[in-house]
Amino acid sequence: MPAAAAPSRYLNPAELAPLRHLVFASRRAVVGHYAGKHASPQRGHSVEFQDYRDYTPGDPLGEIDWKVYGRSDKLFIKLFEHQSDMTVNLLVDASASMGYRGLRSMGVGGLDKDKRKRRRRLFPSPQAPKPPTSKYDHACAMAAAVAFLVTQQQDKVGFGVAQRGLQHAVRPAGTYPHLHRLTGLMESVRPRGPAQLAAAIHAAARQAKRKGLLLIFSDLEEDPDAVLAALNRYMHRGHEVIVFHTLHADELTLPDLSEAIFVDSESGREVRVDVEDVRAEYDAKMKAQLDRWRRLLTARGVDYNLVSTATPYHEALRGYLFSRASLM
Amino acid sequence: MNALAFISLTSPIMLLGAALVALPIAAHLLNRKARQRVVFPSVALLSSVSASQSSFFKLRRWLLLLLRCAAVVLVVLAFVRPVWLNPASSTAATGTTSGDTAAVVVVLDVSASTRQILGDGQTAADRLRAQAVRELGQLRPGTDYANVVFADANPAAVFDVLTRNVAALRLAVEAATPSDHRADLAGAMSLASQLLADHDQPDAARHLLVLTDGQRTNWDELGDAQLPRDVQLIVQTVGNDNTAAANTALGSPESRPGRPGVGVPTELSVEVAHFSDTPTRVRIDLLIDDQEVDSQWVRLTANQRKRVSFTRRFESAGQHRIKYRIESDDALALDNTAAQVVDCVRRRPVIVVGDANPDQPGTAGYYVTRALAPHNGDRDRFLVTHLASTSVRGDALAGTSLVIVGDVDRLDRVAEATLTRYVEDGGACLLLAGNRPARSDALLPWQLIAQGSGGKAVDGEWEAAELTGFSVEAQDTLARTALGRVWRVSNLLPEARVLLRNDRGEPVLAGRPVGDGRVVAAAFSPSGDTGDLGKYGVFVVLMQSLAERLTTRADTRRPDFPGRPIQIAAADAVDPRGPAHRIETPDGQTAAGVVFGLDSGTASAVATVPVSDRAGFYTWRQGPATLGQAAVNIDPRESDLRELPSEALASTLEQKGVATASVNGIGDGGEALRFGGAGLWGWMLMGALGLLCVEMGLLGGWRR
Repeated sequence: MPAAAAPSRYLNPAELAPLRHLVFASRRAVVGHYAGKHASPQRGHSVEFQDYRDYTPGDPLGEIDWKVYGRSDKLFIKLFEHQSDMTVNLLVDASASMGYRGLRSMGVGGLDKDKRKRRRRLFPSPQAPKPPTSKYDHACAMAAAVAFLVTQQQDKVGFGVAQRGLQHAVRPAGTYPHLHRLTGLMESVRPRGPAQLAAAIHAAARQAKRKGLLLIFSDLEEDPDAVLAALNRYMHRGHEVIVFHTLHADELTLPDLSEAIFVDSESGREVRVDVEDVRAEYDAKMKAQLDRWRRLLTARGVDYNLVSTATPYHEALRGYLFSRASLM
Repeated sequence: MNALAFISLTSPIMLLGAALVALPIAAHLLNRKARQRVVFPSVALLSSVSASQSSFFKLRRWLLLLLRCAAVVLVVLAFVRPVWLNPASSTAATGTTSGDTAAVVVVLDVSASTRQILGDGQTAADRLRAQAVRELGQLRPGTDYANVVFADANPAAVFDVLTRNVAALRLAVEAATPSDHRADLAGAMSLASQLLADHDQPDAARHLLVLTDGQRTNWDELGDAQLPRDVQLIVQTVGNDNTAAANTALGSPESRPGRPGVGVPTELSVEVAHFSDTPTRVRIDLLIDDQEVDSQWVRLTANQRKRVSFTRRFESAGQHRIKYRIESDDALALDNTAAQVVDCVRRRPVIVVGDANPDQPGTAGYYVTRALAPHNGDRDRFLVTHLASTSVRGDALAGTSLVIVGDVDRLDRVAEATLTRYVEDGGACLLLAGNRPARSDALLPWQLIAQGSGGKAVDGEWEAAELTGFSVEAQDTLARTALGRVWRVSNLLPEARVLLRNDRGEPVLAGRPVGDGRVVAAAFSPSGDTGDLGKYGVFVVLMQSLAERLTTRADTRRPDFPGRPIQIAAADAVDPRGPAHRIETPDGQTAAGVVFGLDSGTASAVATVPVSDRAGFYTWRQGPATLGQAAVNIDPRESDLRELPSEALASTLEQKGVATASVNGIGDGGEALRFGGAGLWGWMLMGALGLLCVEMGLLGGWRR
């Protein structure tokens, strides 16, 4: 990492330091241009023996295993495994719903202004308070961390934003300047409008030249059938897909409110509810919805992960990488 | 609506508080409008959840609003203090409908008998007072008028007119204490009736409530109480189960003689009365000057009265405090003591009435004085003073033990009336018939006919009290002594007793009772112009014997009872330059309104206490010195605690012309006055609390 790197909101070296020894690898074989550390369907010249095959005229004479010819009087060509570099594509949902930062950012619920002032006077904080984290921020921070790990292991990482389809698509590259370009791009995007995640996945599939990984960071406020259809098509081409279902803590557990009008961030639709009255039923339905996504995605071989903004992104990512490493 | 007619609002102005209902309504409306707006990532789940509950939520909000409004209304109504006027009781018991104004006077018996302890350990006064407070509490504040008359010997009302300030009346009743008086129920009821008649609201229903211990002796002697016919009379007694509590009482102390001499045997007696159906045995202690000197055990049968006597000799002259005491756990402790003041004199006063000069030898006054006071000093047993017949006026004879009428020119009508009144009030008189005898038909036991030779008194009723001092030798000497000129008499009165007869059998000395006193008349005289009787020693014996017996009359002064004025005569000389005078009451206080003056008859200082409130000794003090004392005992009729049955009491009231009277016990019918009805505010508050509890329960349930 260059020493003169500009500070990024989504790339904090201090938080990423514990992740340096981890390797982000694909569970499937990848196809790359250059030799790397990832398994590839191509045969190459690595030290790892793979198989023998009969000699056919035209094969290089240097690849004939002469020791076997001496024992069996037959010509065999010795095959070796080929290890290639990996291409990781990051797709971050930048719909309006991903901009939700919680009730505190709106001045609703929790401690009122006077109480916060009083508490601040009694327990002064040496640092300025951090603004609440939105789902988009959390997703970008995770994506930037993955990009950092991928770049660090000399693989390529690409990026795209799901905002009314695929936007700001950046071709994969494996350099640190590329990484900073990605983080700069993340910071420049403001969540708004619908994501149209299915269209974004379709577009990403068209741009992916080689087999690689697609990491989707989204709250999945989409039509499941359309998303699943797009993922089916993507995966049919041999890609691996990992979904980070990013939800705010307020979505998983409704905030402490008496009665309120809830306005949909994307459609503007309003619903009047007494939170305490609907909490139990909401929790049940939310659990059912999460289970449905998990069931649908894992059934298609998609690695599904539920991420809450209540969990710091680096902890969530480290937990995921540990669990992934145990399965490989 | 008929039911609403029997609900009275005590503070209708508080209905303005109903505007507070706007608070929950405003809160309801504000809650709807001020609902928070939250921009949420997706409301798809929320809308699916809330859709199924929206109608229930609306119903729930309305239900909560209804509960809160009802709670506010109930709290406001509680402050209005509604009263449920039970239609059955308010009209039947008092004849008053809910809309009428009532005028009530409560006559509260505070006589000495209300100090009796009832079966439950409470005094009758406490129970009557509590009932009075309870009855006053039934009045409707701001509507009904009332007053309270305390029935003791001098009935008095708390206010001059009926008032709506019931709170002040209740305070006065709570502060009232039973007196030592005998209740003047007739006077109290008359005063109450007058208060009701003077009440300036003609339409008001008038009620007279008498709270009494129902003492038989009180109601049997109700007198001529005037009760208007338009007043409804309600009498409530303590209702002590119609069984009189056992009581043993002391009363009517007497001393004989009334003013004993120093060293003279004096009979001190007290009447002990036992009001119970079971016999008892009590010990009576006698205390003289606060020292217990004697005691006697007395056995008393059911409802028996007995006079118990002690014989004592006083060693010094002056006033002595005599106190009789019994130790008894009876119902009334006040009458377990009786007080008496005995004025012990060194020489018994005797007045000789005569128009002749007593210093001139030969006159009747001369010989009588020589016979009764031969030493003319303190060694004599009698103090003889002389009085002309024209000076026998007014209180000239007050305080004297014996009056001897000797030679009088003419006993005029005033003097005769004064002498007669003196004797009738318990005095003793000896009439000597000289040449100018007093011819008083009111006093003489006979009629004097003519004067003649008297012979000798040979026959005598020597067992008679007047002659018990005569020894056999003295009788013989008298029989041999010529009486001189003696009046012949006729028309001897039947009640007269002949004490001496002459040798012709004619009565020469006779006695008769006159009123409470006694008269002894002699048909002879010691004066020198009738004979030489005055010169003989037997005349001295005769006079000493007669004077000794005639001056032993009892102290028959009218007894002093609490509630009446009393007079205290100064036994010692008053120092005009000494410290201030004061009358100390039995409870150590200083009596108010005392008038100090001079008795015109005896020329001695007298203090008059306008009202003696307590039984016991009243002491006239000038600085540390005690000038005089007087004893006050409760009226003996107060000791008879038997209650007049309700039927008899109602009959008594009917005889007095009371049209509508009800008599019952305090415990029988609860409150006699039921204008106030039952307060509903407690129920209102309970209802409001209940509604709030229901609301909290619903909220808790819905949250869960």
